[in-house]
Amino acid sequence: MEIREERHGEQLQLGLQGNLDIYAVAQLRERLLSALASAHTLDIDLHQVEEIDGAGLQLLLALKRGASEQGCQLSLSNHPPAVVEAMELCRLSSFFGDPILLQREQA
Amino acid sequence: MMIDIDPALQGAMETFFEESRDLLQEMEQILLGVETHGLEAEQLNALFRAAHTIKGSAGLFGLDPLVRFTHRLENLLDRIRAGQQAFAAEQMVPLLLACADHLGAYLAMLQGAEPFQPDFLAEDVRLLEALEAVQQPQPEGSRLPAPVSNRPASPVVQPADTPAPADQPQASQPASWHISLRFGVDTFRDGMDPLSFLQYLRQMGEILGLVTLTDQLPKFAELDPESCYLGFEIAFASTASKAELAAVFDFVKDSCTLHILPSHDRLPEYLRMIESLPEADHKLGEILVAVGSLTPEELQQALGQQREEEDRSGQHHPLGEILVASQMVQEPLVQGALAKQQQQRAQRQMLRIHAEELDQLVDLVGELVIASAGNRLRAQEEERELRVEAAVQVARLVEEIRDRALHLRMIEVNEIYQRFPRVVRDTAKQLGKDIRLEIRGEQTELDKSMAEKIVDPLMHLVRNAMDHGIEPAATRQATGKDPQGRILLQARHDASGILIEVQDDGAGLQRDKILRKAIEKGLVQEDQKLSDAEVFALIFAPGFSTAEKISDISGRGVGMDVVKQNIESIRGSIDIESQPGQGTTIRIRLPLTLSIIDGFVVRIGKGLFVIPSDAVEECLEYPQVEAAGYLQLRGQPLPLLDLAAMFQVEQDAGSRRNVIVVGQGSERIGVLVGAILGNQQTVIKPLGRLFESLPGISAATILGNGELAPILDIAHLLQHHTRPSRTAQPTSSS
Repeated sequence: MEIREERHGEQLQLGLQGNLDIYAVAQLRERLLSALASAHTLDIDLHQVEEIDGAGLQLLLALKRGASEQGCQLSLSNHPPAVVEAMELCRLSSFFGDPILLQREQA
Repeated sequence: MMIDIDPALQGAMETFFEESRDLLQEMEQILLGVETHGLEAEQLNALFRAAHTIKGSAGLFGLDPLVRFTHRLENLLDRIRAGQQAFAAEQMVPLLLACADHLGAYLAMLQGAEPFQPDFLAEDVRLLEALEAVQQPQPEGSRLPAPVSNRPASPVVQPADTPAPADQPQASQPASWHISLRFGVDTFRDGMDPLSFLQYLRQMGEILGLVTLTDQLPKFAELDPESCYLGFEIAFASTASKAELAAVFDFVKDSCTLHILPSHDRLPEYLRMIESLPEADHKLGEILVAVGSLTPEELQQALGQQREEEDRSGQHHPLGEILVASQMVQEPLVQGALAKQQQQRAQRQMLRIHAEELDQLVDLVGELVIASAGNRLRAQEEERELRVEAAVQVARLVEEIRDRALHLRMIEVNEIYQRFPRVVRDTAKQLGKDIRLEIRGEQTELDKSMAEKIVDPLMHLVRNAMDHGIEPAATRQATGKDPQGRILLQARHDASGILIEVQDDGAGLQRDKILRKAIEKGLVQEDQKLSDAEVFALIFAPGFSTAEKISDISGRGVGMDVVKQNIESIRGSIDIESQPGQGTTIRIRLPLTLSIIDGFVVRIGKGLFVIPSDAVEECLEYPQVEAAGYLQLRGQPLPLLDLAAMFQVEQDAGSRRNVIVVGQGSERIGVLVGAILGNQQTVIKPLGRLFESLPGISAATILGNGELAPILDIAHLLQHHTRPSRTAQPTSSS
């Protein structure tokens, strides 16, 4: 999985690209752990996530909890259909609380 | 038909015949109920099971013709049960009743090793054709039941041969489940994705609600992202069974924790299913699996857990406790299943015993009662206090044993009443009358041998009431009565015995007609003054019949006298009450048991006699001054009977004499005896053939001191001596 990083002072945006799955979670967690430690605001851009599985979803869940514990503001943005679908399945959209924008190809 | 049967099988076969008859009886009862109450699924199942059981057992004994016939019947019932065949009561009930009758005929012939008669075979063919004819052709496509779920092809393994309960409630309607799921920590590493299980589950029904559980999820800093910490609580609606739902999680069943419970509002439904399970020797777990609230895997797991616990701690935990503790089923279901099990155990503990063996036991107990009385008498004579005490204790125990032994022979009167609905139905049809039968007091118990002897007289009385008592509907309507006639059969325990009543709401007996007929036949004199009861009693006289039209239903003037004789042969009595236009009630009084009575021991001359205590009303000192044959008792004349004279025994000249007033119904008589020796339990010994016809004596007993004492036949004494002037034949006493 490719991770693109954009930093504006305390604001950090991570753009994820590829599959958010069991094969990616270990590497991604390391990255997210250091991001949480260094940023006040963290935005995860999911736009280029192709697939997500239970492990990926679990990582996002843990990240959400970890961020609020550390006082870091976390937002997920640009949910692709696969992520929306997984969140709906687990009734987690409201847990994350991010606005989910329907993308053009979906609309 | 001749059948070769291994003698060792003979006993089992007898049981088969007996049980099959019980099943046919049950079928018949259900079918008769259909005409009034309709047919419930449960009863349909009972009908099917009955046919199925008979077929199965007949197969074991190689009774092929019976198997063939029953198979066709079973097929039809199965089709009705599966909803592939409409059940039109007016068509099906007569057919099924005829089939049940035919099966009864099969049983009778097979049991008696009789050849099949041509008319029997003709009936066989007729019924098989009728069974064939009612089967409706099914439109193509409706023959197969609708698929339970639209399960796609999937890697998930089908559940291993789950016992599919035939009466799963509302199989076609989704039922709600509560699924509680915790994935194992290695789920991801094993290549499984919890989300794909949820997706698959969603194809089997509707996820009504879902909560993702994150309570196990560690802090982000400590998270091992490749371990799975997820859990889900799911409210799910599906037509799938518990086992089918469990199969969804087969691939992770060893690592995840899964509970599938029927949602709480469905518990009553499961309890009903448990309740309606067929009677069989089920274990708790099997009951729960059978209704689908537990999967076979869960049962295995719980049993394993039970064994483990036992090995480890030596403690045995009941299975139900484990099932509830590990959330495999809810507590109320375990309780329901346990109750069912209890019920099944109670039924399993029924024994079939040869009536003969029971009779032998009761005989022996009778001897024991006598011996115990003798023992007590001896002890009292010796005047040794301790021995008397011991003897009294033995006597008390013996009495208890006697009561229990007698109780073993008791059956509910319901067992004989069972035959009546059919008889009433058939007879009413034959007579073209509309008559309903009401039965009360079915639970009243009476001695089995007595029950057998009372069936025919009762049957005759009921037929008679239907034929002669109840008027045709038009006549009833004209007199403002309910056009439907009513026969009431009731039984209850009376002071000293059992009272059985046959009551009809028909025209009542016509006193004048009876009297005229009796005079015509020379049974009474023209100038005789008779009470209503006396006139009505005349219909029991031999050769008396008032029916102007002789019909097939009730006898040809033989009958009522035979009824009376039969009832008297078991020491019973019969009387009639009738109101013109209102109906007739016939009361039969029977003793509680045939073999032991409380007896009043009296001396007549040198001999001892026993008077059944239940007939004794009071005892008086004999006032010598009375006119012969009568005594004034509280202003009423009481006929007196000198037993010494009657039995031609020598009277002790000097001894004081007593009068014992005995009665039955409204009749009473004083019998003149010597000393009164008191009450004693007496075992009735039938008289030998030589003394059988001795008037006034019904049986004999052996007293505690070994002396033989005849027992007075009170019914006979009352009948022949209350009105000496009326009786045609002079008796030895008057």
